[in-house]
Amino acid sequence: MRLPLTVRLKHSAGRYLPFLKVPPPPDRDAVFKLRPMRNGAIEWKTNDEGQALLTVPHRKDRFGMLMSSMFRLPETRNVQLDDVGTFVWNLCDGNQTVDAIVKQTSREYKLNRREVEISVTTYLQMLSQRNFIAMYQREKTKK
Amino acid sequence: MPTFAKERSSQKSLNRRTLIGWGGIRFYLPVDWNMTGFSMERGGGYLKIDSPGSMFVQVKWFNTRERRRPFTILEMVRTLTEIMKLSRPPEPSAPDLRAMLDTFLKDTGKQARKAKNSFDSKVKAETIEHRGERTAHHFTWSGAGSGQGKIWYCAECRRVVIAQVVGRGRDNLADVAASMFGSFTDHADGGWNTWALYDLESEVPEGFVLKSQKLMSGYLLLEFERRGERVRIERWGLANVTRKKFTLAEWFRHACRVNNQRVKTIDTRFHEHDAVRAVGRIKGLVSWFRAMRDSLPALRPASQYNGVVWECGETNKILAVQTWCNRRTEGLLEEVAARCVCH
Repeated sequence: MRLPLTVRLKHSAGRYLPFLKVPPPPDRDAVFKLRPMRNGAIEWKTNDEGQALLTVPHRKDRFGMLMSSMFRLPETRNVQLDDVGTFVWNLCDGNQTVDAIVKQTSREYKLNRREVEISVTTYLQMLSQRNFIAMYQREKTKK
Repeated sequence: MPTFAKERSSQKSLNRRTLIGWGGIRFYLPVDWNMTGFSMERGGGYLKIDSPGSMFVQVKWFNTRERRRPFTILEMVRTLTEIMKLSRPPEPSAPDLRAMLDTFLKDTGKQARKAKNSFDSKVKAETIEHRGERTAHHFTWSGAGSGQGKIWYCAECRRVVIAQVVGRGRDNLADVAASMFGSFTDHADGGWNTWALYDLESEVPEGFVLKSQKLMSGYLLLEFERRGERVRIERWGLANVTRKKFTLAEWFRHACRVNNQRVKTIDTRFHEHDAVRAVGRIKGLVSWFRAMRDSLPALRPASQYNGVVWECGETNKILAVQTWCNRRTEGLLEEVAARCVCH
């Protein structure tokens, strides 16, 4: 597969300029051992169709306060998830690993594991970027 | 459902293996291995199939019977006599497999040395396999990982295939290689090419070439063409979610965009599932002109449209097969759809 021009440019520039160096992609096994956990500040409920409606509070930092006072933004905003999104959201309880979520989604929707892997990891990445979830790795306990 | 489709379906449930099929190339791999790379060149192709772990399979092939464009007058006359069936084309000699393999191993060695690894390879003596059809060399290598593979020439389809299983450290290459090479076929079976990837398994007549494809999460599309005739196979995942608010007929009209045809839809049963069958003709002067142009020089425009869509509850998938064919090949849809395995 041919990479987009911007990515290729970044890669070639990174060879000579250390501050532009593209970090290597995370190890697949390490990603699959991570445990996604819902942001405690987000409230959520399910509607009649079983889809989750998230109530996301706005940023409380200086920038957030400034923007909300300037534009009179409401305190919260709502995000509606679809069926599959809700299923994955329910599994983000901090106990399930990404691998377990992929397996359960694959079993629930009878999808090929590879297909689920791609879509679930992309979805979790998006949730993480928006601070809806956090990923953590459980440390091994020493006996 | 034809007998072979039933056999394959039951075999699949028993053995839990993944069938990979691409333009005549067909083999089995352990369950959960999936295609991650492919190429669609005319005279050959490439496939990469990844395991859930660190192993992967690479298959590369090219046809040796591709007709070369005549260059001299003598070649032109010879080609003309062959076309007019006045003379038989000369039997091509088997290509030098050892030289090809040496080049391949040299490239692999180069990559290993680039990654600052030592490289070692072993090639076994030439063997004749598959009832004398294939001349083969088995090889193994170790460097940046290890590989087990085979290069062979098939006298039946005149194809050279090089296939290898690559892994790291303790990966069990031998079992995968045995399973793959034991089930490998390199040419069409009874005039039908197998196309199998992810959970889609179908067969298309040999003359059809892959025109376009879309391999997305939850949606697969394979479109084939033969002198203006088209076969389009689609598979949607998550049927219970995507078709929640529509009937199958509504879904079909919307998803398969059949509005540019004069189409009648009928509710029916197919592969033991509820299905919608569509029959019609292409409409509009532009479509007719295109169909005429694409069918040249035979002047048999692919004006007949046939389609069938069904939902497989067992696998939670929707499958659709559509054909645009001429009057001589009107039964094409039934044949292709019957060979499409859903559960």
